[in-house]
Amino acid sequence: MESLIQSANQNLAMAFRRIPVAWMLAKKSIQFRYRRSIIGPFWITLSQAVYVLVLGIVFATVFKQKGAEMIPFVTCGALTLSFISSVLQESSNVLIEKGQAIRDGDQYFLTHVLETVFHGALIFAHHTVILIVVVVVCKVPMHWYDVPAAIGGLLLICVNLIGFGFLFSLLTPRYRDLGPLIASALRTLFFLTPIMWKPEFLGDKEYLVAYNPLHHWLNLVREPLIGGEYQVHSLWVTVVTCIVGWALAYVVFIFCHRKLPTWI
Amino acid sequence: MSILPDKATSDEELSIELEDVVLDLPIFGRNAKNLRSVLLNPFFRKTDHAVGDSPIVRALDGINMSLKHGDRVGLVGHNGAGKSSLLRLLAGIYWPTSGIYRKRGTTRCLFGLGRGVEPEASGFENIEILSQLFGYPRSAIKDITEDVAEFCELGDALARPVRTYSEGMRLRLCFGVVTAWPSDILLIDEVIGVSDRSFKEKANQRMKDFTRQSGILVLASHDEQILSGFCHECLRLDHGKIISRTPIEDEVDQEGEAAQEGDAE
Repeated sequence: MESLIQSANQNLAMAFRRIPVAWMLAKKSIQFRYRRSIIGPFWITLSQAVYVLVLGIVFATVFKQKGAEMIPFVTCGALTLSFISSVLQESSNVLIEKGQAIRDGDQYFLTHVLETVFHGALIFAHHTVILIVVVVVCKVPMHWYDVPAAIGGLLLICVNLIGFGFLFSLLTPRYRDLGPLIASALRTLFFLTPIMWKPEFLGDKEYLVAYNPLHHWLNLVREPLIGGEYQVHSLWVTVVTCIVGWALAYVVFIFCHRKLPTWI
Repeated sequence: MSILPDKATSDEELSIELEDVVLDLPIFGRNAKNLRSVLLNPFFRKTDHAVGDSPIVRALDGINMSLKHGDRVGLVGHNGAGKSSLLRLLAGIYWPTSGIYRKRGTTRCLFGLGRGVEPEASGFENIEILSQLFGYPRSAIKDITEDVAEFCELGDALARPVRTYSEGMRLRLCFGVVTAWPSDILLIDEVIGVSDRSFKEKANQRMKDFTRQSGILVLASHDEQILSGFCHECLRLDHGKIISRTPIEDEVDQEGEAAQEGDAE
């Protein structure tokens, strides 16, 4: 058991030392997207822009809300959640996809997850153009500290994503059903999380959203950018999920890191 | 900053030791444990006892060996004899199911040509990417790039995307980068075969220089020429067991004799 923990820590330490490598690889793969296309990843931004605009307009109409209020709300929520769900989905399959590389010597598993999260974050960075346009056009009242607060929230979400992405990536090679399960769970969560509707629309059932950790993650990014009130308890919930995710991933990693290459 | 682990402090310390190493690889699919069987297991524990016991294949069976500084070993054996499994175990990718494996020294491995090679990037960019993947110091990357470019003789092709390369060209590139920086232990699996004769000679020379700097070489191949060029000793594997360890000339003779006998019959 002691040697298991020791070798797990060694593997993790190597992965942490390779953070610059993961960052370099993520950056390169974005660069290569530009190589044979003029606007590269901005194609994704473009489709996301149309998507959030339509969502915003439709649901502002359906719920009879002001567009200038509803569109920033929907935009921030939908963009952040699609970032979260795409990173979680990709990282849950990353070790299976990188199976050949792992068997050829890249056995520092966390590096692959980090690369996925960095890559997702860089793509999301392209989408901030949409956020800026929406915030300016809809004349959201902003303070100087709102942008740093949103960025801080985003970083905290990234730390969460690394933890949970790592956890999922370790389990899916062994239990192949988990990949599709996670994908469909994330699709369901899209409707259960207040993105197209506001928590207060639930009326006396509003307390239910408090049990949805994703809602709190989103709050950290969304509230500063729509001129809302800061939700301090959301910060605590996010810190707690972060600790839980990393702790679970660490325990699972200790038990499976030696066997993992034989599963892929 | 170096990201290479457990560097041996001196040549004497450099070592690989295996005692009774057994490696079982699980085969998932039939009878395998999936989420359904895990969830159903509590209900059917009595009736369905086999659930969870996935079949295994014994890739390595009771391997004992020790290697020290200066050893250059060629692994031979039929397909599926355990050569690649042994190399992956030595590289620290697979862990022994039972037995003891001790290693002192930094390890570099060349098992496949796909690792880290970005098809859309040029040869030059790939040298840089691979150098960082292998953990070479950043300050040395410029020198490494020049060195590899000179060695692999790809010339103008280095500016082209790697997806336009042939297998042999990829090998030249990868082999050049793997051997560009000293490592205590070098593990190579079966990839040199795709190269042409002139490259083999060049690779041979580079490998000699490289192994002079690095302590241990383990190489798996079916090619006698490669084996006799690179290795002093030959380790024959069969069904996951070491059946002989002989100096390389004997091995070549043996195979020659065996071939002659085969002809006689």
